[in-house]
Amino acid sequence: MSMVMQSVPPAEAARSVRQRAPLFRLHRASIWIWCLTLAGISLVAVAIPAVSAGVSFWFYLFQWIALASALNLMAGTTGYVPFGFAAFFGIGAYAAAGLTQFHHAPTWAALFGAMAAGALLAVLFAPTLRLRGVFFSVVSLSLAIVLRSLIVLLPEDVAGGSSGITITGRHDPILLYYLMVAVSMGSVAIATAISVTPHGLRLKAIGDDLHAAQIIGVNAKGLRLAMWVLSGTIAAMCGALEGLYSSAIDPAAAFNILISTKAIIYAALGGLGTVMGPVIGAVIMTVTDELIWARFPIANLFILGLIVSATVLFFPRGIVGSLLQRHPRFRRWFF
Amino acid sequence: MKRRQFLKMSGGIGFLAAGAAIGPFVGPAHAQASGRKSIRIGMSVASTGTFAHDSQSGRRAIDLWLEQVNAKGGLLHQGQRYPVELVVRDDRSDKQLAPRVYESLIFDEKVDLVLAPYGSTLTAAAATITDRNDIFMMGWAVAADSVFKQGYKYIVNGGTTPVSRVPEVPVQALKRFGGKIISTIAVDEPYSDALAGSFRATAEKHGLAIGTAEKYSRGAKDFTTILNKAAAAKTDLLCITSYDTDMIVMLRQMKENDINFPAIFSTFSQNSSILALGSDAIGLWGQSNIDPRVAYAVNLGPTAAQYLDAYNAKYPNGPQSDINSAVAFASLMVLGAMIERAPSLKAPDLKAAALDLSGHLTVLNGTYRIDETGFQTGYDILVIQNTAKGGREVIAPAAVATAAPLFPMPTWDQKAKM
Repeated sequence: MSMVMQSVPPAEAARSVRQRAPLFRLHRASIWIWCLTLAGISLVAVAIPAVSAGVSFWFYLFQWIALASALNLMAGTTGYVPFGFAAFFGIGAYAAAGLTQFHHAPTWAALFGAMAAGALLAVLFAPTLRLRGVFFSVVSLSLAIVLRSLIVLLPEDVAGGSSGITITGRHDPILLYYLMVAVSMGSVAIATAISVTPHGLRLKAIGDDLHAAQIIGVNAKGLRLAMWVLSGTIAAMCGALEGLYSSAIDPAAAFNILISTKAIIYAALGGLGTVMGPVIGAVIMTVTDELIWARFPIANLFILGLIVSATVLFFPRGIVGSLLQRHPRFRRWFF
Repeated sequence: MKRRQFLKMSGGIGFLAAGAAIGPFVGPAHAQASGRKSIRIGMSVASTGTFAHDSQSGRRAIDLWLEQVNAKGGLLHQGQRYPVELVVRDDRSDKQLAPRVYESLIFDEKVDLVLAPYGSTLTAAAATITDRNDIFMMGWAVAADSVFKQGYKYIVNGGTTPVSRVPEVPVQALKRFGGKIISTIAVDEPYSDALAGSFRATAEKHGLAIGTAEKYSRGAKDFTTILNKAAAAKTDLLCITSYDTDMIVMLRQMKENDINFPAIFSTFSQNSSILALGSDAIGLWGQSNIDPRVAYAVNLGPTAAQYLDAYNAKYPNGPQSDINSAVAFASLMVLGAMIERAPSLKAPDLKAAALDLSGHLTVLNGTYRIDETGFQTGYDILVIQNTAKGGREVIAPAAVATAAPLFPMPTWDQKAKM
């Protein structure tokens, strides 16, 4: 190992990665198609309130796209799967609701506060990044539980206590929907930008082998922390928007473990480590869920469970991941 | 794959996917049905999650009401009888699903009005949708006061005693019996914490002192310290607002340490799990909204005894009617009267009818009375005390009491001999 370090200086190795990394195997048209698809989705999203009577389905669809993509920034690239991801969602919801309800902050200020709270929490939780694998997952989950307990113990005029916060000031749901679309498309755009730049390759290197990545000069700590903060900030924004949209939050709903598990499942079903995967996973699962719960009022969860199990069995690397594994030629088009 | 082939394929798939995905979820704005054949009421019930048990308890009573109403040909609205259709969806106790459920009920199912989901959090989330779309919502299990401070125009609490009003009867009873100090023990969950806070606020309002106010995290098993603190504060009424399983542990630890209180109140004191403790459950105060021996001057629907007979006839093998079943049934009785009185099923007309009927309807659990926001100011609770050999007596309000209270309640030594 020391031989390798001596023969290939880290700085030189990093330069080598930087030179080889950009778009080395992607077809350039693929990125354009993807960007046009995102632009098309955004245009459709803008038109939805004009043609659809309700926006709740769409609001939550874009929320899950954002959460799955945000989680993928961390889990998909660096291999850190945060089961306590709900902590960011919850802190964002509480920050926005508290600022709105107790300090009469306007929507933009509440969202800015939520963003800052998410970023701050990510920095506070950063020492957990020293751990790997299941240990990191368990500790992140524990911290989410601790945070939930802390919120409950705070004075009622700060965080509403066990009863949570009911927001009496009413917000325009259409405005919140547009903001959720913006957060969602923004998170996918960030994932795309990271993926097609050398940072994407460096992150993949961290996910494959942390020590090897460090040896070739990748700033693993800095990149991991950046992804962690980015991921947490996006989740906090989602929590803030959801809290304002539903106008009621409580500790059980805001820090619900299902938020973490759903984001992980949606990202994994689409394909962890790919940009398109979390988007595809979130869309397929949200649409499937919507189609079955109304038609099968009793058995909807059972059917959903079967679909998730079957998808995992047939596409163990997720839809995009398995497609790329079976048909490597698609690597030029899907990423 | 050639570039041109890929571009064609991806374009086609994208177009089809967009059409398939958007199709089912866009639709015209809600329109009230013309040429009416029935009255369609939407509601959500939780098949899983925190609220599953309680919301299904309510659903059983709602089905009983539906059966009774449709057996008579439906509700009389605009001079004609219409059968009532109930459109039910699953909300999985999920706050994020509730808005989608109610949008679907309004736009896909074209319901005329809705019943709220179980619980205040889900109700608040659903009300953002129904109120914005001018759909009337009847709440039947919405205990939090805050929901009615949000400025919603078309939501009414038709059945539940709000959490801020639950303590009124037990606190006044304690004062009448000569008690002076109240302590609370709550688990850190919304209803439990809010109820404990209401007990303290009500006690202070009536000039009683607060001994201790303890809160614990779910899963705690040793309550000895907080019980001793409450005893040391010379507590006359200990209000335990958490789960029955926790209360069983607390009672056991009180017995082991010979900690006695003149009175102990819990929402769950008459649960079968508590009554199974036998003589250890004697003297406990509990809460109910109906009792077959308490017959208010009912002018709408059955008395409590008649309701229980009908319920037991429909569900002979259980589960038994509980607090949620009774409030759901009461809400539907009131809702039926509103529908019959309102000139149309539009939300403003139903809300006006709800206000007109306020104070004029007495149903199985008391008199329905609301303020302008739809907040319930009627429906006092009944305080029930467990007596020897599994008996239960109503001890408050005084006007409907069936027996004098055991106050102070028997000590552990005395209970052992009963």
